[in-house]
Amino acid sequence: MAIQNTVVIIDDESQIRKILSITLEAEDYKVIEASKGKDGIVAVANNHPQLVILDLGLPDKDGFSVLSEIRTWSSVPVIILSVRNSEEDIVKALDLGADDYITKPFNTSELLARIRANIRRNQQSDSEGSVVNGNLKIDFVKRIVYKKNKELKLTNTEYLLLLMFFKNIDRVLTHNFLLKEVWGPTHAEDSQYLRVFIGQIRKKIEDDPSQPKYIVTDSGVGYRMLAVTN
Amino acid sequence: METGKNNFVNNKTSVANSVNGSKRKKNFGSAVKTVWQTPVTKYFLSALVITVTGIILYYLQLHIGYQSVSLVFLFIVSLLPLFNFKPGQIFLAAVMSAFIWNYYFIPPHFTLRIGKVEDALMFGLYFVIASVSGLLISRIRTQQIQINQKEKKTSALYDLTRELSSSKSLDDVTGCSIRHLKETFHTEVAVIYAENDKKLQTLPHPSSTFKIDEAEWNIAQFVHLNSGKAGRFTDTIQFITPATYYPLLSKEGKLGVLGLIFPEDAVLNNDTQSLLNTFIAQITIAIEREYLKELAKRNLVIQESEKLYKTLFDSVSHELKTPITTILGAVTSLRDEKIIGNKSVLTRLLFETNVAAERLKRLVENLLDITRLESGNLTLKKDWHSVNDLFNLLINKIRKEGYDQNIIVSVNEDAGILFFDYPLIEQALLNIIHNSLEYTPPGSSIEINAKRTTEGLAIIISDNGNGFPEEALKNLFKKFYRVPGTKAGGTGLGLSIAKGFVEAHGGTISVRNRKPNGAEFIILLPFN
Repeated sequence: MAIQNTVVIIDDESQIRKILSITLEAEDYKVIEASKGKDGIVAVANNHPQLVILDLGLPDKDGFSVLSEIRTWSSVPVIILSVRNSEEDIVKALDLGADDYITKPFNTSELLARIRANIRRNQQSDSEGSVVNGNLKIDFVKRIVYKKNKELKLTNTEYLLLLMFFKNIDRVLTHNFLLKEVWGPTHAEDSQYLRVFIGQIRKKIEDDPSQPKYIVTDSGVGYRMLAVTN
Repeated sequence: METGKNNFVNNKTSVANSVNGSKRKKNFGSAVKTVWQTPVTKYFLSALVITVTGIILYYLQLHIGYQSVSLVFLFIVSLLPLFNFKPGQIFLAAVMSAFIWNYYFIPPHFTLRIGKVEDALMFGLYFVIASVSGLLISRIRTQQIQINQKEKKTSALYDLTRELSSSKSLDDVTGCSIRHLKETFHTEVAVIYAENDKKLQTLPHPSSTFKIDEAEWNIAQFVHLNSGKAGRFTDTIQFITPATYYPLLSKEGKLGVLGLIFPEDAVLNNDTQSLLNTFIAQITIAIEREYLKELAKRNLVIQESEKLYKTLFDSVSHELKTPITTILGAVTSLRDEKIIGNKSVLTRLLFETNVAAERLKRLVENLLDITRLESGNLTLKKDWHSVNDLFNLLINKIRKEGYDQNIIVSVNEDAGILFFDYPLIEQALLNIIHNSLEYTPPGSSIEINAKRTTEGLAIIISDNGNGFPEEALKNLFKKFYRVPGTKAGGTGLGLSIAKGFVEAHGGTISVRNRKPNGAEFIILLPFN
């Protein structure tokens, strides 16, 4: 039997906690529930979970402060639970160090996929020399991206952007994050750069750039490279 | 030149008199006055006065000497301005008296020739002094009248502004404006406020003193659209309507239209017109002020209702989303083969789905109930029901819901029957019992007691939980109120619905904390 992954759920709604624990336990996760932010932080500290599911609207502390507190001493993947139409909150949480988000009401299979992706990524070692996703392959050492084994001609900026996506497959990357990582902190607001470059990259990597399957837009939040299976 | 000026002054005085003087005298004797005041009559009158004086003096000259006669004439001429004689008329009197004196009094009599040098000198001096003093006095008199008029205008304006500034509402401002316009200009007044920049309201303000029919309204609307006056005394539509319409224009936009019907004989000269303009300007400022005030008030109300709406929206949407999330989560997890294969997981999912669906159902019922209460057309379908049955069925329902608390019911055997709307009272009691079940710790006990008293059926629902914070007790039945710091879930509607339903039966509901701990709700349903 594989080692059981532990998930801490911090949500004030007992019904949501229950439904999450039932499904996660059925998937062989060990679940620890917390209804308050404070209890949640304690649970994360004591149990060293592989993942945290955090509701943004908590009664005692808001989800943001719980997240920042956890981030001061832990890099455990955190998935934010949020209501729809609150992109601002989602972006804020992602910039504070959350790894992903899912909006209520959610689809269980989607949630499970997100949980798996985030746990897997966290356990990946950075030492890998290359990553394959669908038709695409990136070689970190040679700094080359291949499509169907053919080398793509990329500018430096395009390569850096793709590097970010390959290192964070299945994870949403906010506009802010990408701009800071690729262009530097002074360009954090220049989201039009990003639009232009994402467009160029899509032309190079996608079969149909108008219906991208590798780099998709999370509207109002950022971009995400999906894991594509051939 | 001189005459032209005279006419102007004359006009001024006549209108101002008929307007201002009437504040005290009303229109008393105005017809007579107008005949007296016409310039031609006044010329005759001044000639007549001089002639009569001449005749009297002619008989007196033996006693007083012909030289004193000139002094008496001078006296009469200088008196004329005091009776509102104008320079031309005074000049006529001076000339006439000079020649009468010369012809009839200065020797040689009945000639215009003057015998002695000193008489000639006196005649010349008399003529100059009579004319000059008459004219000077007349000018002083005119100025005095002007000053009086100005004072009256100033005080009318002062009265208006003072009263306008102390007016507290748009109605006050309108009423006060109409009264002052009526008093000062003798007009009938109507005020029609604007619906928007393009259209006036259909009806004039109720304090208006003349009726606006469709034709008049159309003219007012025309004035509103064009932002220029129209009607009598203007260049636009002056013959169709007896009224004059002025647009009320402020910096913020078009406020409405002011309609005035002047008396038929009124003359609207520059002075009156400018006073009227000042009046309108003052009135516009006051109306604008009240408009802005009411706008601010309305904005406040809108803000308040938006706040309430947001609270309602947030709580209702949260309450809706949570069970929907649960149900969707449970249903979508059924795609997972691991879950389908695990029977105990399936049972638990099914149970949670059921709880969520119940919660949704309760929320929808609560929303419908509060809407019924709010709409005010809650009609009771009363009938005779057994009190024992009510509680038995109620408790069965609650026990099925799987709460952890002990529920102890004691209903007196002789509780008998009661005339009430069964679903409403059941809902009221359910809401209170659910409230206790939701907010007391597992393992607490809820006691439900019902007994007949002299006034009606007394129901006491008590628990041994934590009770309520003191300040929450008085707000507990308010709509959307939730005790601060309570757990998630709930809209704050249940208890206010319970209160509404109980009160619809003429009953009362109250809550208090128990000693040492817990809370109790006391419901009293009267027998009829």
